[in-house]
Amino acid sequence: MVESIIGIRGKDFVVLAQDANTTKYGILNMKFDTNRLFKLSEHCAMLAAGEPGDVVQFSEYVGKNIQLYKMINGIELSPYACANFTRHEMATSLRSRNSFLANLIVAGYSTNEHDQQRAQLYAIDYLGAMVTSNVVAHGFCQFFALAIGDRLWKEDLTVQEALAMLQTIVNEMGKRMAAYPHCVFVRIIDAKGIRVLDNMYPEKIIVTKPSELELQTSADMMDIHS
Amino acid sequence: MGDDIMSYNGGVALAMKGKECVAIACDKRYGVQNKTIATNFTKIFQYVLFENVSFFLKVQTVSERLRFRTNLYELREQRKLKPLVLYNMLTNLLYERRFGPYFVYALVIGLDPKTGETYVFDSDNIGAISDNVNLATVGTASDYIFGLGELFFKPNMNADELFEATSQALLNGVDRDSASGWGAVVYVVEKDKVTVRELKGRQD
Repeated sequence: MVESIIGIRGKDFVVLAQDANTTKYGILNMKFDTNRLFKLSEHCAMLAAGEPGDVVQFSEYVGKNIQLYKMINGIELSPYACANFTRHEMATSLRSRNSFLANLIVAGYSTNEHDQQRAQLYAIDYLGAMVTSNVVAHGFCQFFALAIGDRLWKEDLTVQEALAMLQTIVNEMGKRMAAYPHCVFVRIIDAKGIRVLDNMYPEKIIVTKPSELELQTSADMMDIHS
Repeated sequence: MGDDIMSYNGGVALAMKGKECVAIACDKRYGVQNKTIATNFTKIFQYVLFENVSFFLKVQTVSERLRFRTNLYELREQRKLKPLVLYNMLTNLLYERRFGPYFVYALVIGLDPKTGETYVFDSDNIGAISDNVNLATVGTASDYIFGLGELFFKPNMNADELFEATSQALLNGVDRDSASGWGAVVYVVEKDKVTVRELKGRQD
């Protein structure tokens, strides 16, 4: 819930962002360079957030199985196939002894030229429900990311516009979330593969000093020494 | 809302019969309780035509499992499914999980192209079998849509009248329910074609 993962789909790329904090006991900030991205194939990756053990366990399980498919069959799974496989594993494990409390974002660029929509973005929640959308997010940042995405997303979004949208979201999170995101890791997936972009930081909040008038009480205003 | 599992995701669907045509319509909202997450989630899956509402995890799982069974049937029997067969397959699938059920309500519609006979069935989440009815509704706004559906329904409507009746009943019904809406999709099935129309209603 407290961890943020966001995906923004553009014309022929997907931008993935995750906060880099690990918190403990609700208040301690243990780590500020946590990696939540798991590579599934050359053009497909997954962001995962939720129960820490479950996240790693499930993501590694899915990731390794997808790599195994590549080794056995010699071709890589498309993002659509990766996402559906992941969803299926999540749904089957839900009603078994081992269920995973992990929310995921699967994003990829399809290398199949016949695909209409080549940049693909899917969100899978811990109950195994999958949706595809232009802006997806999990955790408390959903409130900010989806609303800002509704406002700022448009057809044929460029990389700069997507990063500007992301900076707006990160600034808002920095202002309004008690779990302050010290640093946000940003990656992009496009025809060239998965690349890491510069980190994003929330804007520093400048607050005006309280005025001297507030230091006065009604008693001060009474002249008791005359 | 609260902890009612069947209204966790929200959503609604409606099916109506005409003369040698059937229509099925659903809204496009996907949400988690009071939060809307996506507005492109149509809940209609085509086998003959089959519809699931309410808890999306299970919508996707049930439709996958049913897809598996129907594909296997078509491979073994080397012929297409009849609507009644699909309906029985679905209710069997749901009843298999009688004591740990899937959280879906289902609507099945179908049309026999040779005889023009129309089928509309609905089911609760454990696969209770219904008769072949004129009008069926499932979902969080089903009570509102039932009222409107009964009002707009006339026997032996043609395809255009059927589309109007179905879409008006759905669009106005979802306006009264916060957990459904964000547009609608209407499939009108006739003997020789299936027409899919997307409607833009109130986007809230």
